[in-house]
Amino acid sequence: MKLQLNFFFSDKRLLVGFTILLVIIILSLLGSLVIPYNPIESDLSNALLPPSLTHPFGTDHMGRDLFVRILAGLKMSLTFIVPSVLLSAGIGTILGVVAGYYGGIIDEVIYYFVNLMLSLPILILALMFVGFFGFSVLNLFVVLVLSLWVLFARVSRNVVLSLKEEGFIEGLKAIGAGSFYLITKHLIPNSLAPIIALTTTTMGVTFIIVSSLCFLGVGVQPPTPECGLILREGMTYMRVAPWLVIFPSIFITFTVAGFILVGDSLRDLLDPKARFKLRKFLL
Amino acid sequence: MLRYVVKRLILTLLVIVGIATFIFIFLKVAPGDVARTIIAEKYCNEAAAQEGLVIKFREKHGLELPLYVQYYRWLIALIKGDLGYSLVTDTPVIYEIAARLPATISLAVVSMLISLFLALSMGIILAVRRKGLLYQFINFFAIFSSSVPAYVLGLLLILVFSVTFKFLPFVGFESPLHLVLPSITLGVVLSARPLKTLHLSMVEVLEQDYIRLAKAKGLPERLVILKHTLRNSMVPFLSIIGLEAGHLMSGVVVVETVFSWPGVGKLLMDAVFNRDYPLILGCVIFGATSYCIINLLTDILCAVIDPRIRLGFYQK
Repeated sequence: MKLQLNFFFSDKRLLVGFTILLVIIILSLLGSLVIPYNPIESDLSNALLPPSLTHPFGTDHMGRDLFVRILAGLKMSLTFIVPSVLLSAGIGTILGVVAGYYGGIIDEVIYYFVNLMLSLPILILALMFVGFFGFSVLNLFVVLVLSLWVLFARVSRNVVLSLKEEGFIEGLKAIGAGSFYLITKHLIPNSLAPIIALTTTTMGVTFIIVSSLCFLGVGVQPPTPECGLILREGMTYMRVAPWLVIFPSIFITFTVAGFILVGDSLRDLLDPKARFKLRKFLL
Repeated sequence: MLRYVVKRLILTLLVIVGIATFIFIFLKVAPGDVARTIIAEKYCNEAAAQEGLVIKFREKHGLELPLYVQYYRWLIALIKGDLGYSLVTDTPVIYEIAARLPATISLAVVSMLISLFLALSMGIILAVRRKGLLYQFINFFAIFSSSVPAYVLGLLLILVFSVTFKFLPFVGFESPLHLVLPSITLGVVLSARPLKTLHLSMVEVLEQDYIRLAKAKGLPERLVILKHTLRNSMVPFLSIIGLEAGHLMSGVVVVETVFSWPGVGKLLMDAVFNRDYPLILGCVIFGATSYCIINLLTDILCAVIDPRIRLGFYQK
């Protein structure tokens, strides 16, 4: 227990980031139970009220409580982002390990697809999908998994390549270890540390992408609350009701910062050599 | 060197062909009949009158031909730069994009310069000074710039500088002043990852023996930092800038929408809302191709700086 606490306090970034995430998760899960406002039903008599005791963040143009809407929006984004990133992390890690382990033509093909998907930025790809198919949560999910796996494949492939240089894989092969055993028992566990760190950071980045899409008007459709969408709606009333821009901005930035702080510190803590390997990762 | 450049060039071409293929497959598996949708959007909504038009449309665009012929035609048209006609304005897509290019390029170049300046200056300070108020401030900036989405920063800047203090315009394209807020927004957002990378790689280089030697022989610190450390930290920094080109594309779309900047990003957004299929594809292909070209250039630059790369030192 003591060891774990030490680990936790050894990096300020981890502590701060984890606290932010914890607060946001608890708020978004419990907020709707505790606060007596509905995030969707409009009440025009209360439109555009400034922050007060009854409405801590004020109300929007439809008279809905902004605080409740932000919390519901965070919940909406997180329940969507977490599974898509986890799925892409799984797919990407396996493909990356396979590419690094077998090398040769398999590696070439997988790496070609990594390069291909990297040159289609997620936001652009998502816009293309939405433009042709219209918006649906499933489409967005497909786009995210389609473009996020390459990030994980790149990292796990590089980890495997550097593990191969260390020679213990050769040794295990010499005493008769099979490929499946090597991949599942040695290569994947060994690449988990950077993958876990990357997963956390990627959640933050995905949050930015999804909320940007909603802000552009091609994501979740109103009246469903989502942080980017709240900002899109609030933008029109910026002159008279600046709180409609300020509060969602703070929440979005803090959520992403939480993920990125935790991800960065995990990267350094789980692998003290990380920064020395950085050069290798990039090439 | 020439061998390395040729190798990279072939790889880039392969990736661009791959993207064209990906989009072709995407079009073919898209549910619904694109021809019918286009006719319905463009000409008339009466089902009876549509039939003839749909058949004519298919004949005109060769949609009845076998798939490999269509694929071949698609590639040839792309090489010729023929991306079809916009459904809304009926002008060639390539002209539409060309007309918006100056706006996008000026935004992209100015914001890249801003982000380079921010990343270089702050990265060096972070690596060299490891305490003090300035260090804390830059550290905070590094976290902020990597967590703030472009549209949030853009809106906050508009709120502060245009709505509250009213000294900078935020919508339009008339004067250089209009470029200030969009390019700062994009520059700050883009500086996040290069800044982090430069910091880490400089810290790594600073621990090397040759830096200790340079200091021991009495070289002024400024020279040690600028000539020895910075130069040797340049390769990861440059490769991350190449990879950041993807963020530049997405950033351009978001920032141009926020600031109503009449560039290619805004064109893409309008095309998405108008369901202008050829225009969407044109913008996507344009974006992907420019990404590949930027990456090619930064890779070649890396090879120029670091002979180990062009000699294949890192590849097994």
